[in-house]
Amino acid sequence: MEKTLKPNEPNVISEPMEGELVVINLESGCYYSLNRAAAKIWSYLDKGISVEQIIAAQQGDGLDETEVNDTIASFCGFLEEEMLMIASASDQDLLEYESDSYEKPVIEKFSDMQEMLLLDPIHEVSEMGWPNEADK
Amino acid sequence: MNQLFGIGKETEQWRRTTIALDKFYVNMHFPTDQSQAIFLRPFAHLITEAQSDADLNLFVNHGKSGEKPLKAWQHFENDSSDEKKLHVYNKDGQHLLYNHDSKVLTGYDSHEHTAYYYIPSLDMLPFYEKAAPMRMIFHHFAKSNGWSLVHGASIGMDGKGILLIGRGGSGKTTTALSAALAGFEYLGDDYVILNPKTQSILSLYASGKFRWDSETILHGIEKLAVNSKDEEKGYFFLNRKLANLEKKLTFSGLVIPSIGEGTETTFRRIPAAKALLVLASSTIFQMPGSGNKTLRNISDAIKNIPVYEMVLGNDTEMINKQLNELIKGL
Repeated sequence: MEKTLKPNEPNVISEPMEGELVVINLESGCYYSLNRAAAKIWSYLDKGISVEQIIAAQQGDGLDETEVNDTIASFCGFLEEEMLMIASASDQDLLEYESDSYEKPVIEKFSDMQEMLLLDPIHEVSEMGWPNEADK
Repeated sequence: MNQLFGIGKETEQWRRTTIALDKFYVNMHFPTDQSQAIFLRPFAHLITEAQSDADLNLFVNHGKSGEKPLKAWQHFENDSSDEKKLHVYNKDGQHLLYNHDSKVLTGYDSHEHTAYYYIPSLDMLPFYEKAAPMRMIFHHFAKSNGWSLVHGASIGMDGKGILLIGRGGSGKTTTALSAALAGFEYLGDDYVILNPKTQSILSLYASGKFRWDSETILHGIEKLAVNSKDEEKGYFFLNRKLANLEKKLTFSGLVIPSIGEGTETTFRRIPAAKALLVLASSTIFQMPGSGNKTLRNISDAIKNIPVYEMVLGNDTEMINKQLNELIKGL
């Protein structure tokens, strides 16, 4: 079975800028910078394209298939480890994905804002009134 | 929500002041002359003629001598945790926030366009609540207008403003205050509002905070401080005699400063993605309720703005000279 991933919303938010992608994990306090290649893989995953399809579609002169396979698989594994993406249980047919010229995906992690993460989890309240926390 | 904040008694006599943020009015209501004087100092440059119809009505409540704190406040205070400093509750456009560090309880009702601020005693206010109060209320107000309250300083020249971003210690406050005291236009040293629709930066607080040890660069700054060295940082208020206070500037550039070595200050243009990374992370983690909308607003506001990295030397004259050159070129 092919592996599909989707962004871990709403804990994770992301925004493209000049082809790159900024990803913020609101729960962990870590944030990430993805280069163009990594941002492209993120958007394919977001569209429901499987990790295997993305790997299979990579093209380029003298490409080392094992290295490509390992790099993309490791990048996708990192997205899961960091809880930026989670497994998608979609029953939908996998989308078609055209071949793509390979570039190495790079993701940089920053954790210097973790100390700023002062929030308790946000509580949604019940009609019982404020400031009672809603029944779980 | 007004009952929760102990507000709504017919006998109350409010001292009302209107402040203007661009074309929006906020009517601030205070129960005493003392609270009005304390809270209005950083907003003094925004005070405008009284408006009967405001975009936000803000009510301040604080306990009187011998009075028990409000029940809602006690609820949060007793639920204090060592690890967490903020409690946030959301319900149908209403937001409630308790800050264990400042002891301030704030509420924001987006349907009623009303905000509330409570502290049991004015003596409990920490220095940062006097220098830059009600941040969470203005965060929600900005968000409801499609603006973003962001963590950054802003100065400018001839109506062109630059936003200085970076986490604490990166040099943004040093740069902004050095420029302000040298005659540049000044919007704020720590929090300003971005309006992506008009590509402008709005001032909120006419105050400045500084680390006591930064006096080595900003000579004489501690003379401006209104507090003592017992507190973590010094703070002061700027008026039009001390600085060229502005309410709004055109958002023309973004600068990410860093402290370098020696006297030389240099700058170079860098990709905008770095600015989004720095500004979004330092803003979003400080503003409860921030999420995709805040990130999108910030992105919209900065996407066409040139971004520069500035390495600061320890000579303020050189910093100001380079800022002058940078802004003139925008």
